[in-house]
This record gives sequence, structure tokens and C-alpha cells, in this order.
Amino acid sequence: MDAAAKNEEKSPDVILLLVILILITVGTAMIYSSSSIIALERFKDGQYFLKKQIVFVFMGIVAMVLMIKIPYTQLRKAAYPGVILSLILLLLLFVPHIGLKRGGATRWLNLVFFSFQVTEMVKILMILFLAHLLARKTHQLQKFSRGVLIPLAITAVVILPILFQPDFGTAVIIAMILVMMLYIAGTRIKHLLILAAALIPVAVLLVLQKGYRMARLTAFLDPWKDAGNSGFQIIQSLLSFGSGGTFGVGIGDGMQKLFYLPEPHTDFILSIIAEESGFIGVTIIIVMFIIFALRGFMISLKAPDLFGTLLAAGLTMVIALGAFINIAGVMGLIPLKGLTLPFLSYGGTSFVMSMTAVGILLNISTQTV
Amino acid sequence: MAADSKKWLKVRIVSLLVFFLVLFIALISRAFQLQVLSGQKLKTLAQKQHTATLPLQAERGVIYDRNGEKLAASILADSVCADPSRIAEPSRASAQLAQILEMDKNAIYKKLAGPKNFIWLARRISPDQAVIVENANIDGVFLVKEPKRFYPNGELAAHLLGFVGSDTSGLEGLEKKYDELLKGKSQKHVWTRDAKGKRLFPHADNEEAVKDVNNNLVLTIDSRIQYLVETHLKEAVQSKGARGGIAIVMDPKTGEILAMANEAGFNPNNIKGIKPERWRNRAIADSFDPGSTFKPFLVAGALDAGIIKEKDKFFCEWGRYKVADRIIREANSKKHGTLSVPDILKYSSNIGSSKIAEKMGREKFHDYIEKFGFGARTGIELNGEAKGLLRPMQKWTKVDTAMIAFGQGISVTAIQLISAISAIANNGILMKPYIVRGFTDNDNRLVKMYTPTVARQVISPETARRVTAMLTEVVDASDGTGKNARIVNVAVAGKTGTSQIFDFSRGIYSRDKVRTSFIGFFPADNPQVAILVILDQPQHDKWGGVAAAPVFKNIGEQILNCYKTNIRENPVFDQDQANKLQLVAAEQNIPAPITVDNNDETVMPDFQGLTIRETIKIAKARAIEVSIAGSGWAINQYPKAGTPLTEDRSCKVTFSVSD
Repeated sequence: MDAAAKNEEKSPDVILLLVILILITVGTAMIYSSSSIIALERFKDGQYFLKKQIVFVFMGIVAMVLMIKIPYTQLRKAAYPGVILSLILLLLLFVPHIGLKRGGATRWLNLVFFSFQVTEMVKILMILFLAHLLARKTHQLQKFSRGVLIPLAITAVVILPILFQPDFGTAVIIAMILVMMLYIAGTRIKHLLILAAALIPVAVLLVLQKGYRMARLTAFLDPWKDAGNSGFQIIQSLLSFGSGGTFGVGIGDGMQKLFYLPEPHTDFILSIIAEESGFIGVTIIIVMFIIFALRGFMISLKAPDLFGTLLAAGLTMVIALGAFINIAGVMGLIPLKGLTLPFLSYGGTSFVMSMTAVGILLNISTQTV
Repeated sequence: MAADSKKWLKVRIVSLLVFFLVLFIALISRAFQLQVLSGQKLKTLAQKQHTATLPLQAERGVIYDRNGEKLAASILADSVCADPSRIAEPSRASAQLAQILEMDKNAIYKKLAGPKNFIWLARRISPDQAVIVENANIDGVFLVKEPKRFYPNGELAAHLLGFVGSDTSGLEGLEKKYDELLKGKSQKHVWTRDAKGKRLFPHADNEEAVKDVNNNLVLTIDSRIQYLVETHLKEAVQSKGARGGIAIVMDPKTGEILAMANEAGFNPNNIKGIKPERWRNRAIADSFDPGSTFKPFLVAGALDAGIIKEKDKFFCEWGRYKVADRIIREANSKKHGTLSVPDILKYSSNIGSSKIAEKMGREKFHDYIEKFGFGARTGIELNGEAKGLLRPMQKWTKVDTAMIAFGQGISVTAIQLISAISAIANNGILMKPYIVRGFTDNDNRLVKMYTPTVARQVISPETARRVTAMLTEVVDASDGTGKNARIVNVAVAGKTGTSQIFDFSRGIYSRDKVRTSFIGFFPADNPQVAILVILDQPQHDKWGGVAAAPVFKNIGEQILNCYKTNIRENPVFDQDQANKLQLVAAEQNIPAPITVDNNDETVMPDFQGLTIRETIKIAKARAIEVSIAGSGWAINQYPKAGTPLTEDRSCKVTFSVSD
């Protein structure tokens, strides 16, 4: 790159966009394949989830295009209001009738026409905030009190209501993003190790505190021990993967979505993909996420300023980390978290927020030095 | 400084990128391990949960008679089973089921509340109940078709066929003997299901129902002859006040059993409460002293060995002959002087027989007895065959030899006796008796066909012819003991017999308890049918010629009239038949007042106005057991037409020729 290109707007990263479009296409198709039977039983309409997902796709694309248009530097203004908005929304969840309780957790805001999963937005807002904070305080990062404690304290305030939802998975993701962004921003490794040393006992305590978390953990360690109960989900997921073999049983011909796998269109969508398109299909999906991570970090590297670098890295990591936790979970590599697979799982908020993140990334890619 | 920090920033970002790449590559490796390396194992496990398997007994093979008439068949009955894991309210479901199935509510509840996911609730219920269960539509309760054994002819050949248990495995008779063959391999009913246990019909092509692999049994029995034999035997047993009776019809040239009957019979469709004694096939399982029916074998042996000639005469001591310390008398205190060999048979002289045996010597006599097949099992394909009792020749005293000559002091089975007489009928060749003609597969293609087996040449053909001629005289001569067995226009060879029954409690032969019998065959010049009739302890007409011979004659007469019509040269035209012919011609004038829809399978059809043949046909199709009285056209039936069919699928139909 020479001086001529400097400060000129480039076209957005096409490869990243392409990867996202492929994932969306596959996701929409697989949501239909995996949900049609359940939709038919619950809503007497096999295309119920498909129709809604198509609406989400449009909303997501609108959000993405919007974010491409807004210069990312403008977003700094939203950093502090974003944290306050996050806290307000997270606290609103605890108000009856406004917070919706599903599957034992209060994660959705009741917005009459649709429900809104607050943490999905909080993740993006926290990254924006951390990027802003860390870029501004870049020179104080060497000191533990300012460099670590302030971001940690603010993040902790946000994580606390999330833990009370409860949504352990998202809390872990935000905590990990915090650590990784601190690492990129240049916090001392020693400080990070101290932070990790402090976080791990907290996590262990939280796991021991709730029975189902422990059950998930033991189920992860030996799913076949209690195959009919706590190990049931992970075993069904593993059976899906195995059934697919190398080439899969064919799109639409999977058996595991017939009530064997719970929520086949959300958390376990990759299990269905694995069954129907086999190892080949799974590899393609994972490769897509690898390309996404590569392009994302590339954008981060080429960002004109530290804020852009941190923001791009944070957004790339939140999606890559979400993908890894979901995929590793359904493959039985880590305990199940109940997190969606970005771009592929059914779910409005998650999808629109992921697309927002992509929009921001693409905007940063246009601003490269 | 700025450049340096930029460099370190890059390093940190790239290190995180590498970290993520490692994570994702780990995921791909895991996918490879799960899907490619252990895919097959997991796939098998998955398929196991995707399919539901229900082991079902294959439909049991049919037992046919030689003409393809079904003697034992399977009909499909509904069984109720349940998947307790799918029953939401076990208490309500059990109350509902208890009412329908007439079972104990608590017993059902116990089953439904259990942890299993498949249980039987009731096996082979009636069609009525099945309809109610189906309509009740209880979630998790379903019906499965199971074969149920049915004997369309009721008592017919029951002792031969035996019966099956509740799990349709053979417990007695041929059902037991050929259980493996008839049962076949158990069938697996496999279907694809979702996690809720619901059957998936779009995947029906995955259903791998194993094809039936059982065999059908074809017997040598002719059910028509079996029927008439049973009818005549029953009539004789009742009219003579006998305790029981045995009759066997055999083809002497092949050894095929055409009929084998025991009286009293039983209905294998319902064996509840019947004692094992009742289903014992006495024709093969019981042995007894043959009495005078044994004399032909003595004479045949003595002639064959050249010990005696036909012209030889024996002085019969005027009815009182002392052997060692024993006095031998003639039956019925008859007194004979000198008798030729044929006369000894004709008058059934005990003393004459004793003298022949004496002349022959125990070695030769024993030898021939063995050659005729006595003292050893014939090897017929039936369980529980007895050997009879032939004591070792070394132990025979003079008295033994003299008494065995007229069939006392030796024990034989009915099947041995008829086989032996058939050897005389068959030019001296003893055939191995058999009852299974062959097997067919499910599509009734012949799998195996048995051919007659020659046991051995017992006597020379010439001797056989001579003895046959003498036995013909027994029946044909006006003063022959077997004259009651005479059949018009057919030469019958036969021999009567009455043996005293050994009273085990007193250790002597009883004077008034006798077994009266008749063996014979016809036509004498080319024997095609051999018949044995035994009546156990008749109260009237104790002596063989009087009680058993007419049964032989009636059976023979009917066989000649109905089935072996080519044997008799001049079939007699009797007035009775002429009348029947006219009536048959007038059949179309008889209105058939069918008021009940005879296509409704759940109710008793209307038989009125139908012929016996039509009635049997309809009843068979419906698996109804009909008992027929009279002849002509059905005029009455009980239960009435339209009555719902229950467990007891029987109907009494009265026929009459007068309209």
C-alpha cells in the first residue's frame, strides 16, 4: 500500500462478506430442514421457523448495511451510553412480565411483537466499550489498578446480572473477551495471570453452586453414565455426528431431528448438519469460521487506529469464540453451554447482532490504512 | 516506541489468531474422529434407537391332509400391547383397559406403571374386544396381529395333530413332533420411529419384515376317511358300551396311514380341563394282547418256514388241551375235532394254533414274530410310540409258546398289528408305516416328499397269497368267524380277535374284561385298504366277530362307496341315491333366505338354505367350527345368524332333505 491509497475508502472485505453469506444460506436451509417437523407439531406449519428466520435475515442485512455506512469511529460516542443501556436492559429482565422466562432462564425482553435476547446485544456493546476504554487508556495499561481493575470492575457490574438470569455461558464469553482484549491492548501478562487466577475460583464456585451445571459437567466427562438423563443431549448429538459419517445421510433425511435432539434448529443445528451432510459438511462450516477469523484478525491488524484494532479483534473473537463453544459443546469436547452457533442457529437477536458485528467489521475494513 | 508497540500489537493479535486456528483445527480433528473413525459405531447406536423391533412369532405352518384339506391352520388374532413410557395416565388407562379386557385393574396398573417400554397386556383377544380397544385410542396402547392356532375340523384327527400352547408352540402330537418345522423362525417386526415412539410411515421402506420361513406339513391322512372312521368308531363305542376304541386305516402297499382314530376324542381348540389321559394316542402308545388277530402271523410263519402245509390237519382235542400244567380251551367253549390249517383260522381255534406253534418251535415262532415287526417300534413319525412286549425266546415256557400262538402273553401296539397284516396283504413285504407325506414351503411348493419305505420281506409272496386266501375264507365262509365283516362284491380278508385283558391288580387275565378287534384288508386279490378296529371292553357283543367286524365293514363299505369307487366292480345302485340326485337337481328352486350379510366377518353367518359343502366352506373361511346333523340343506342353526362371534367359534347346523 502506498500513500495514494491512504485514507481513501476501500470497498468492504468481499471474502468476509462472501463467507457470511454462505453461512447464512446454509443456516437458513438447515433451519428449515431441522425445524420443519417440530414446527409442524407445535404450530401446524412446517415453515414456521423458516419464515421467521427469513424475516431475521432481512433485518440482519439491514443492520449490517447500516453499520457499513456508519464510520466506526462514530461508534465511540455510544461506548458509555451502551454500557448504561446494557445495565438497564439487564435489570429490566428481572421485572415480571417484561422479562420472559424460557427453559429456566430469564433471557428475553418481551417487546410484544417479538422477544429480545438482551445478552446478545450486551456482548457487542461491551466490546465497543472495552475497545473505547482500552484505546483511550492505552498508556495506563501497564498499571494494574488502572489498566486492569477499571475494565474488570465495569465488566463485573455487567456480568453480575447476566449470572443471575442465569446465563453462565455468556458470562464466560464476556469474561474471556475481556481477558483477550486486555491482552491485545498490551496489559502485562503477569496481570492477566493474576486476573485469571482470580476468575477461575469464581467460576468453580459458580459451577458447584448450581446443580445443573455440575450435571452438565459430569455429563460431559462421561455422557454414557447417565445416558437417559443428563447425558442424553450430548449422546444424541454424538449419535448425529456418527450417523452422518463422511458424506452424510442427505439433506432433509436426518433422523435425529425427530425429537431425538432437543432444539435441533438452535443449539444443535450443527449436529443436524453433521448428520445430513457428514464430515464434509462439518469441515466446510468450520473452514468458513476459520476464514472468518482470518479475515477478522486481518481487518484488526490493518485498522487505522487502536480503537479499530481492538473493536475488530473483539467482534471477530466474540463470533469465533461463540462458534467454538457451540461446536465444541455439541461434539462433546467441552460442557454444553446453551449457546447458539453464529449465523447458523435460529434466533432473531443473535442473528441481527452477529450481522451488526459483521457490519462494523466491514466498515473497519473500508477504513484500512 | 510507536513502531515497537505496533509490532508487539501485531504479535499479540497474530498469537490470538493462531490460538483460534488451533481451536478450530481441533474441532475438525474431533469431527473426523466422530464421523469417520467411529462413525459406524455411533451410526449403529443411532439406528438402534431409530428403529423399534417387535419379535413376532411367524405364522405357524398349516397341517394338510393328503388332499390339501386344512387340519390345523393359523388365523390372525389381535393382541394388546403397550408402551408404558408413553402412557400419560396409567391409572385411567388401566381402568379403561380392565373394563374392556375383563382383567384385574390392579394387575394392569402394575404392568403399565413399570419401567419397561414394551409389555403384553392380553394375547389373542376376540375381534369384538379388539374393536373396542382400537376405538378407545389410548395413547401408548396398541394392537398387534398374532397368529392363533385353529383346528377347523374340531375333534378330527385330534390325537394325531395334538395341540399348541398359548405361545403357539406344539405341546402334543404332530404339533410337538414337527414344532421346529411348523414354527419357523420368529419374525421381527421392525419400523422406524421418532423419539416419541411414533411410527414413521414415510420410512416404511426401511421396514424389514422377515419373510415367513416355516413349513407346512402334508399328512398321509385322508380327512374324509378319518372322519368316517371316527364317526363309525364313536358310534360303535357308544352302542356297545365300550370304554374306548382304536381304528387305523392303512394303505398296505405303501404303509401310508389314511386314518388313525382314538375314541374318545377331544377338541384341540379348547384343551382346558382335559386330562392328559384323554389326548394319549393309544393307537401307538398302548400295547395289549392281540388275541386271535395274532393267529394269521403264526400260520403265515409256519407255512413260510415249511413247518406245516395247508393240507395238514390238527386234532383239536374237542376243546380241552393240556399243555404242561395249563389247560387250553377254545373261545366260547367251542369243541373242534380235526381241523385243517385254513379251518383253524376260519374257526379261530386256540388249540389248533397252539399245536402249530408247538410244531414250529419257539425259535422259529419268535423269529417270525420279530420279522413281522412285533416287539420293536415301527418308527412312525409320532411321539410316544410303544414297543409292545415280546419276551426273549429263552424265557418262553411251553405254555407261553402255546398261548402266544393265539395272542395271549404278548403285547403289541395297534400300529404294529396293522403293519403286520399289511405285510400279508402286500405280498409278504412289511412296509414302514408313515403319516407325514411331505413338507411344503410357504407358497405350498413341495419341499420334501417321503416315499414308502420297505422294512423287509417277511414271508414269501406265495405264502402271503395262501394266507390271504385263508383269511378271505374267514370272512367269506358262511360259518367263518369274520362273516360280519363281509362287504358285497368285494373279497375281504380278515381275522377277528378277542383278548382277555390282563388284570394287573389280580395278576390274572380277566374273564369279563375283553378287548375285541378285527383286522383285515380288501380286495383280497389286490389289497388297497387295510383296516384295524379295536373296541376296549365292550359291554355287549364281546366277541370280536360281533362287535368289531361290523365297524370294519361299515368303514370299508363307505370307503368303497365314496373314495375308492374303482375297487368294486359293480357298484350297486340304490334307491336312496336316486332320490338325492333328484333333489340336487331341484336345488335352484329352494329360496336362500339370507337375511344376514354373510360378508360381515364378525357375526355368525346365515347358513340356512345352504348345502353341507357350502356351509363348511363358509364356516372354514370364517374359522367357525360347525357340527353337522342330518343331510341335505341347512334348516336350522345355533347360534342364530347375526350373533356376534366370540371366543367359542362353533355353530350347530341341522340339515334336512325335506323342504
